[in-house]
Amino acid sequence: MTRSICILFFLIVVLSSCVNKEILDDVRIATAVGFELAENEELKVTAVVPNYMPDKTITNEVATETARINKEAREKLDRTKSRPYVSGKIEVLVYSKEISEKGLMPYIDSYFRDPTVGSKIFLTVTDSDIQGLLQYQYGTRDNGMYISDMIEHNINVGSLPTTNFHDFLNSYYAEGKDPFLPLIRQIDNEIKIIGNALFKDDKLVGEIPEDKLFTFKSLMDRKTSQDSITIEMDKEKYAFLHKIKSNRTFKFDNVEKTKEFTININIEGLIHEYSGGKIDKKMAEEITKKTKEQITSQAEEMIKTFQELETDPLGLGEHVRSHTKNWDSKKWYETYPNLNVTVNTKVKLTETGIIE
Amino acid sequence: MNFLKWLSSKGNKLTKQEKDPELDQTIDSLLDQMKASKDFIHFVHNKGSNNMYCFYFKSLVDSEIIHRDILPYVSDEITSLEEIKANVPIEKIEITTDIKKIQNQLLTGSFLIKMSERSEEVVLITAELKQSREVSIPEVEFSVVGPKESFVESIDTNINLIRKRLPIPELRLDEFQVGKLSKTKVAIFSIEGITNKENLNTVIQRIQDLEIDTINDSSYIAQLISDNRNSPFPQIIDTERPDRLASVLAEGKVGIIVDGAPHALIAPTTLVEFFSAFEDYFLNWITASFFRLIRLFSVMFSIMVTPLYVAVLTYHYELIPKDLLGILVTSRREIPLPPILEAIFLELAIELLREAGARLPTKVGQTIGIVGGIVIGTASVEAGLTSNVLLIMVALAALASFTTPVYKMSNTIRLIRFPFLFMAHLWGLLGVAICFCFILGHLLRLTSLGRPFLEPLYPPRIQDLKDAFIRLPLSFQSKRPVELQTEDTMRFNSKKAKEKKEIDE
Repeated sequence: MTRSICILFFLIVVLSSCVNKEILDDVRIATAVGFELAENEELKVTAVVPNYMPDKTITNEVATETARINKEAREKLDRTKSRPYVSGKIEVLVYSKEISEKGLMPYIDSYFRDPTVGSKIFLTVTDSDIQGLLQYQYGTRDNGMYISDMIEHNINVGSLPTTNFHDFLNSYYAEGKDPFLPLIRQIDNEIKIIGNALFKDDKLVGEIPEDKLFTFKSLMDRKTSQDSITIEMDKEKYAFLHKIKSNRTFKFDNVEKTKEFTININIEGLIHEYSGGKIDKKMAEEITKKTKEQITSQAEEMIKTFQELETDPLGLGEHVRSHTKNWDSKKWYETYPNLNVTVNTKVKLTETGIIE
Repeated sequence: MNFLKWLSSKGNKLTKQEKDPELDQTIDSLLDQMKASKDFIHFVHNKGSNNMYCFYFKSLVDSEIIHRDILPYVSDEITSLEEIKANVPIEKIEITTDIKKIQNQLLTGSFLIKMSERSEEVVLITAELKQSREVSIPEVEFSVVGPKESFVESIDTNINLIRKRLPIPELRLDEFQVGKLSKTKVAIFSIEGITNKENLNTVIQRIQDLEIDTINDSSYIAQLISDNRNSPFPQIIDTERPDRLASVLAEGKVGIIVDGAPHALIAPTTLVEFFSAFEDYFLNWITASFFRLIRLFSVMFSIMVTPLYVAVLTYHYELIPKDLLGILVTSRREIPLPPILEAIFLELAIELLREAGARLPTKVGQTIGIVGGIVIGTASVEAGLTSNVLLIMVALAALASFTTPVYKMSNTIRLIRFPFLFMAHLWGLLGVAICFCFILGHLLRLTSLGRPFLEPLYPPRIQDLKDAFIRLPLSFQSKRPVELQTEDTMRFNSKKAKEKKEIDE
């Protein structure tokens, strides 16, 4: 007892200043960081910090610096500010298209080296000017929180497939899978998700436009719910289908020989709006048919594009690998572009509304 | 620890060699010594031929007994002490020459008669004046439902309260005198055939071995016979409810009653017992269990919330949910103090108010103290000394610590918050974890009458969990706690208790 108390006392005296204090209101808590290329190949880093005003409003404080690498920019920024920047509360990392095309990994490195940065933060790609995009105050909060909330709710109830820092790294390091990131753009004082950016390894190779996000999400996630699609019927009539739930399964057998791969999508949904008036049984069947056609054709077209770009965001390779003995990645990459992928879609309308 | 030993040993050396002053006393010198006190009455009662010499303390003796039951029967025919013993209608009469006995009896309210001036032999007639407060409602352990009687300062009344609740011949009462000056009566309750002999003997031995001059309250005994006297955790429960004492006696525990103390002591006990109010047994088991869990939660909350605040705000801002960040930063923006000083300031303010409230004459004082605390807190927030988030947390923590049913334990909770606070400031959550390990290690080593203090948890005794964090229905409580190692483990037949009898059966 006496000894342990002595040891404790000793430790308290000796180690009392060994831990670096980061008192909440004495640090500059960055919530979003943007990266774009400056002239002469330097990196232009933009950091967003919420500024909590005494009247409880939050203003968006933005600072920009150019440097050779990320942490150098932070060090330069620290020299201009009253309090040091910390990266533990970063919610969003925004990358410009040029950087994404060059390869993201060098610019992500400092974040997955840092244990204070969470793995559930969002990575995004934008084709707008990043300083301008982060400068404008969109909501009543700072832009880091705003963009993070925007992406989060679009994953939960919108048509964005599940994505975050962890998923990105997982897809990047997995064999037979490539990452994708949400694509955002600033359009007249608004920020908007305009699709998904497709990567081959860590290099941007293509895009999925926003009108195909529904299909992409249905293909990507094993189980999804709560998103919607507009179905184009003939004669300028439109139906708005709300998805209650869907599931997706892969079917394949000895792919490297047969080169056959089947994707089954089951969608259960209801009609929220139809511009053609009454929906009877026949009409409902018609809508079901059109939906099926639209999703199947979109999906097949999308997968064609993936194969042309030699990118595999769906992780078909990863899936095959996990079901195959002695899987050879080289061989798979030879097979993948020529793979014959069939998409079977099943649509079930559970409800068409209460209009008689 | 060595320092403490040194202190106490030094104290011992200074005391003089003790000697018993009663050894070389005669009855005359004793009576002369007593005559120095104004309330010592002595007179010669002469009726007829015989002179009788009477002595008593008028402040200790009931004068009504003297005039009604003693003097009328001591008439002129009486020639010897034996005749007095035969005539006087009081059952406790003794003829003795033992000086020590005479002194004790006179000082506890006896009437002394001598037949002649020089005689060594006296008769002692018990005529004790019994003065005590009426049995009143419990104030510390108040319950809305259930019995409303509590112990008083008189040991006889207290014993009566227990005997009424357990009218069995097996209820055993051992009585001892403790304290060189105070000669306090200490009674130990146990039930033969149920209470573990080892537990009982431990208590008896520890009380017999006590070396002290005065015992003013049962809490003296509690401190002196505890297994670890340097622990902030109480290892013996004190209760003012006779129903609680009777029920734990039936469980197989040992009860201790001290004369002049309105609190009885219960041993052995476990940590979880300090968080169970006796009212839990009056309520339905679901409600009772719920409130018990709330109480346990509030204890954890009370100890942990300010240290966590300090740790998170000083070191781990990453842990704060993004929606809470704004609130915390805004409330801390204008504050010049670091989180630790801010927390200590508020904690001390609350402790001051509690202490001041406890010294105020009425219970209203306490309420006013707490209300005053909120006012002071609000003012300090407005002055920019503390953040309002912390004010809410500290106030809630103070409120939560009041939910502990045993007062001594709630004091402990008040105390152990501070080491956590300092460690949180030094090393953040790591410090909180280290401090928690120390407390846990200490609790693991604690014993109550040699029985493990953390019992249903460590050593794990699944059976005893029936009355720990949740209280299962009474029909499930058919076995006495394993911890007590009782001689008879069955309280009642659980099969019969669970049977539901129809009325027309």
